[in-house]
Amino acid sequence: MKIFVIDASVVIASLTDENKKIKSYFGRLLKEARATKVKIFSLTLLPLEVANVLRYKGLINEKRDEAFKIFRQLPIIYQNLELDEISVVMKQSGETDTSVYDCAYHYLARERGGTFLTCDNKYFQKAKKLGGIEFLG
Amino acid sequence: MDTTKRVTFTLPDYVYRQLSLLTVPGQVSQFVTEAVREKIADRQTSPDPVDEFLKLSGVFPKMTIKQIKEAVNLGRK
Repeated sequence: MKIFVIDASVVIASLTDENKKIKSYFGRLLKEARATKVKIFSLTLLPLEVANVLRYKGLINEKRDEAFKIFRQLPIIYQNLELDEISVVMKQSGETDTSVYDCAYHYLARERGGTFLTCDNKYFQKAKKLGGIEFLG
Repeated sequence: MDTTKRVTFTLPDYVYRQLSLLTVPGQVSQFVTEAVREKIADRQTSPDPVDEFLKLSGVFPKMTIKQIKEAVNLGRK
């Protein structure tokens, strides 16, 4: 079964109407995950990052709450990294000159034999040499 | 009485620890049955969350990916 790992950029980009292509791609993936054809993983950090964007950029409180309530029900499997794994992530983050947060999502994907999906081209360009990553944009 | 099926499943450690705290030996199957029944009922009566998610709009102003990345980190500094 194909495995994907997503970061906050994919979720938020799907909610902004800025990029219909990302919304359509992520929507299709969610449907496949719901039908247990693929698995979507993420870090337990993801809901915090999504909530942070909703808190600062959400237009209307009511919409904001509704969006988070629906987001919580999406077929995403959350995982934590062990402390030893975070040590590896920190090293790779230094080697690729990227943030520990971004690198942690990517690490999770590679460790689970999956593909990290991100809309962050800056990170993608710096870390694509590690493999297991796809840029959505 | 309904017939039963013996199943084996895998739980994350932290879920297993929480389950152990909430149940006593001999009651685990009953607890899991109730939890699964509730989940099934929820799935059968609730709209598909993926469809609901895709229908969401007007939550944010239009944002570029750069602005999204900045928004993820807002308030951290």
